[in-house]
Amino acid sequence: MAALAAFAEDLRIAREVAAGSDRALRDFFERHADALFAFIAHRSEASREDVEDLWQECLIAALAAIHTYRGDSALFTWLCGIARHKIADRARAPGTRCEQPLEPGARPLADAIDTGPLPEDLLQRADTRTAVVEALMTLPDAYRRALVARYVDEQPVAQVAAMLGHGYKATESLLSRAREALRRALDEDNPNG
Amino acid sequence: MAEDNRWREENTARLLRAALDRSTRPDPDVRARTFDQMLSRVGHTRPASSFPDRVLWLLAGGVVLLGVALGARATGGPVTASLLIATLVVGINVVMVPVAAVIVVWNLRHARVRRSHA
Repeated sequence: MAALAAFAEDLRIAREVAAGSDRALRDFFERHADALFAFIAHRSEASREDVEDLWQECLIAALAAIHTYRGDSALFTWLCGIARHKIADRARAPGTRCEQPLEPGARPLADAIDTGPLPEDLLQRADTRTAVVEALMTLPDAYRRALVARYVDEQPVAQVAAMLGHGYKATESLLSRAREALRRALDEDNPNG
Repeated sequence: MAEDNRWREENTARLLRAALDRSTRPDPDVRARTFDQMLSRVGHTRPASSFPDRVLWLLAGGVVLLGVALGARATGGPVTASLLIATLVVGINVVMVPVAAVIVVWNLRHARVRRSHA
């Protein structure tokens, strides 16, 4: 139900962008652009310049095709589809090093996440990082913002609480639910899971 | 609510830091430039509004039926005002077919040229 609601919101934004709304474009960009950059960086393992080129190409292509988005999947998943095509096109061009083939069957992330420290080589894998970006983008906005603020920007819980406008205990509880949601999203994302 | 264990929190933090480290964030200048580029295009990517398929079929069906009715009346009977109007409607539609075809082809070619310049 939550997923359907998320797609409905994605569809609304996509339709408004297609209709020419600058505000919707800003929402679209703020919500997806950085995550798409991370996705392309991990997925392609290309140089930073190539990643920037690919990222711009993807966003422009997405804008041109935004009216074809039907809300069947998350908007970010749709964007990742465009990115995969662009990365594959770039990989076919002579003299480029792009898109490392992902090793199948080595991503038991959701299972491993509760059972002990994750091995460093698993964290370094491009497919692990790509899966985390994709899973994170399927979460509700509040979960995603809380997780990024707490664990990527390393803000204390009190600061995350202030950002979200919640109390300390409520934020701890929200972070706990967000961690569980991320674990479940990683499980769903794992084709072997 | 069941409390998750300490490994989940630690591993979640490590996974997120690995996935979203600074090297995987766009440069602020490139980011701003890209957004401006998108902003300049947003008004030009609207799809052309199309005529609803069902209405189109209904109208086409109406014209065909009118044509069939005219054919049935053509064998005899008085020339009435409604007959004249129906003849006019069918006649205009028949005449407009090649004109519409030219407009459609011109639009398609024009759209292709616009895309190649984009």
